[in-house]
Amino acid sequence: MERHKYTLDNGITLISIENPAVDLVSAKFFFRYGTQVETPEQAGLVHLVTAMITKGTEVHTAQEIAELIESRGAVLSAEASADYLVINTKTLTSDFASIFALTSEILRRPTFPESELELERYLTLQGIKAKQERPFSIAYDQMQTLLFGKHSYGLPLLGFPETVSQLTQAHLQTYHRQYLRPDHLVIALAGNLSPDRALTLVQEYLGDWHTPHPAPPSPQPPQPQPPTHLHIPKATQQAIVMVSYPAIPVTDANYSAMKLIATYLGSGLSSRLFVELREKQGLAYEVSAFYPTRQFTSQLSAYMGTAPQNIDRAKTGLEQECQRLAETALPPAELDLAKSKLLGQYALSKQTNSQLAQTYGWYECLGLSVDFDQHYQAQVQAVTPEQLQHTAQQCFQAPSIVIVSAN
Amino acid sequence: MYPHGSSAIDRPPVTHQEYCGGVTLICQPMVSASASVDIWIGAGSAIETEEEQGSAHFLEHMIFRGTEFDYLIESQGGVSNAATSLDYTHFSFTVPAAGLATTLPYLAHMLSQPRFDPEDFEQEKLVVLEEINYCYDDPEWVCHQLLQQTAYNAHNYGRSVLGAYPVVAKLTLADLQKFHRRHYTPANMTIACTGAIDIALVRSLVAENFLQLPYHPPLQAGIIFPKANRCVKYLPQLHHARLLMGWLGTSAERWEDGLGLDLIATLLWGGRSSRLVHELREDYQWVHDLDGGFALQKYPGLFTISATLEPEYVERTESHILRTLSHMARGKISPQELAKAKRSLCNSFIFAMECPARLASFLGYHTMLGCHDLCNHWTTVYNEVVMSMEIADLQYLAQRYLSPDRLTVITCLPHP
Repeated sequence: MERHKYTLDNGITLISIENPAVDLVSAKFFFRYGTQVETPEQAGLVHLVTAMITKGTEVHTAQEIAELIESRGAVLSAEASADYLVINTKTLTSDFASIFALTSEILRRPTFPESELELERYLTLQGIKAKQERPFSIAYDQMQTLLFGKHSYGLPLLGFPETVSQLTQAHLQTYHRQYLRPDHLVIALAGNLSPDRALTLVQEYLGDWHTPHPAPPSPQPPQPQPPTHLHIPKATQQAIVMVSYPAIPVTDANYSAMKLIATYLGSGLSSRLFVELREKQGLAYEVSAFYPTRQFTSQLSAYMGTAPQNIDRAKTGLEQECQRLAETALPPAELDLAKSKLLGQYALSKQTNSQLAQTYGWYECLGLSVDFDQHYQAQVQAVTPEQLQHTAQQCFQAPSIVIVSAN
Repeated sequence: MYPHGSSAIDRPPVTHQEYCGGVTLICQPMVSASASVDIWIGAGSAIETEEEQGSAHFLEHMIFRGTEFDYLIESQGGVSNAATSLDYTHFSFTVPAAGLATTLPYLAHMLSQPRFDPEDFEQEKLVVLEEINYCYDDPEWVCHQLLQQTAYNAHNYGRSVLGAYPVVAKLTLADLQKFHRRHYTPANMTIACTGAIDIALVRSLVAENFLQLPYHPPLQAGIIFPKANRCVKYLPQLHHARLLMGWLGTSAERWEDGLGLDLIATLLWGGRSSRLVHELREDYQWVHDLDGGFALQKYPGLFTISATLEPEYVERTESHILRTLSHMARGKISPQELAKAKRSLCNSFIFAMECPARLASFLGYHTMLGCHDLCNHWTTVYNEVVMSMEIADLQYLAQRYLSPDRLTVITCLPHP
């Protein structure tokens, strides 16, 4: 599918992907930095912005916005993540122009009304409480703090009860003014829409968007933290065992090798952790590994849920499987399998219009450009056993470990 | 006559499903680089006897043991999945188009002749038992299980698909073999293929690989009507209360009523401007979250609303929901909210069917349930049926299905 890229005078980047297969358009509006700009004192700020941004503009109330969207059977949502804030819309092509106009108004002139703020604050506080119902969430949140300390990557997305309670309308307005600005915006449009039409709409509704404020300084990467082991007591059926290592960012030359390591260890039923720890030892139902794509330091985390009497075997097993990749080179056949798996799943993750908009918009927003799509696939193909082992040696040093279990 | 929607999906026609030696096959070619296959076997947990509880699910695990299926799929860069539910066990995969000719026969062989190795069986039992523990740590699963159990009482829909821990712990390899012999028969299987497929090739693959299975007529599980009920339970892991209300809805033979119940669900809690979300979450602020839907199954499924909320709001939320439904049964629905709900539901369908694997799953499941009109003309029928619903139709559905005598209410509380 052909991709077109434009840059407007005010700094907006537009990626347009024309795909006439189905008569709909998916549009994603990515703003740089996401939660990276949060301090520990304002943890939860960006999430609260996403909960509030669709809840009122200078022209429409929250209820009117919901009516306008839902009466067209359209989808509008906003979400915060580690490196970006994104607003998603999906509509039939015939409704696209009107929903685009409304979304532009939401981006430019949100009012963050006090009454809506109280409701969303309350619901966020309840959401924070609800995480305690899930042992995996408890382990995950704690691990982020161990790995990234006071950097935003170490903070929970929803924030802490004490920080969310203190966030005010003024905080949201300041955030909007500083960070939701045209020169931080990447728009990705995929669907039954020509690039010309896409450009016309963007120029019409967002072309005159200018901000008088200078761009704030770019956020800084996290500082290394000492490896730590932690046990969190919680009455559960299963114990959660999570073993994590700091890992390289997406901009590192060995990023593709690291993706292959995560795929080899934790992706699918033929993955190493699944075969060794579930099939051969019957230690777990769920066992996996994840390596999120991040602008700064990321993590390779391997985890499982297991019976409390198996905690030690689980911990040793997860750690040994990681270390093994640093000690011995992977046989070429196994590396080839990991490559097919990774590239195949990558292709399948770009099937629908919203998946296309997500992939290309995200790359552009991370500063990688849409060409990263091709570049990344070529790099994965080129990874050698030596490169993979070298990358594993860099990554798999002393892990942090979190265990959530009864007593 | 048709307001919108059908024009959004432009596809070559579905090939009429056919019966090759008992197997039902439905194909939808699409422009895509991949092919998706979905196999549904009418061998879910509801068909188990008391002593073989958990067999359907355990067997799903055993189908994969000792095979190279995962390797075959993943080395082509494909994905696969399997799941067991009340009425069916489900196997699916998506591979690059060229891989279909090797992958489909391989899966057919696994389904017809599982290895049933005794050592594998013991090893996999540990995994299945861990899966049961895993589910008991998920409060949503626990609450929903309680609703099913209470609503269906003695009917097999009231049992957990996974089976009870002590029963599963006692299952033998012979139990699974017996279950397999009885239920994994061609007449009990539905296959849906979508994406980049050559229909002639798919037909010959199915004819060659699924005909050699021994034929046994499918068994029917007896229908035992559930009884209305109520249950309050304390779950120490909860930090919020849950209110689950389930009405006994319709079954697959009346799938149009099922779409009508989906429409009612959309009208009530599909989006921020929908009636119950607007009132309960935004206006009164009694609930944190509202969820639910209608599950179309072989036997009557549940129309479920589930709310996450503070314990002190449980009673008034339940009364408010009951009041809303009784208004609906008296036809108090505005034309605007109906039009909005219709459009939302139709668009969600169009959005979802963009993906070949989702479409394969839709076609396979509904063909297995016998909803042939819905599948053969899926590009138009779904949206036509939804768009044709009038206020009086919803009123009728609310009277018929969403009445207090068909209702089960579960309240789960964090502490006494």
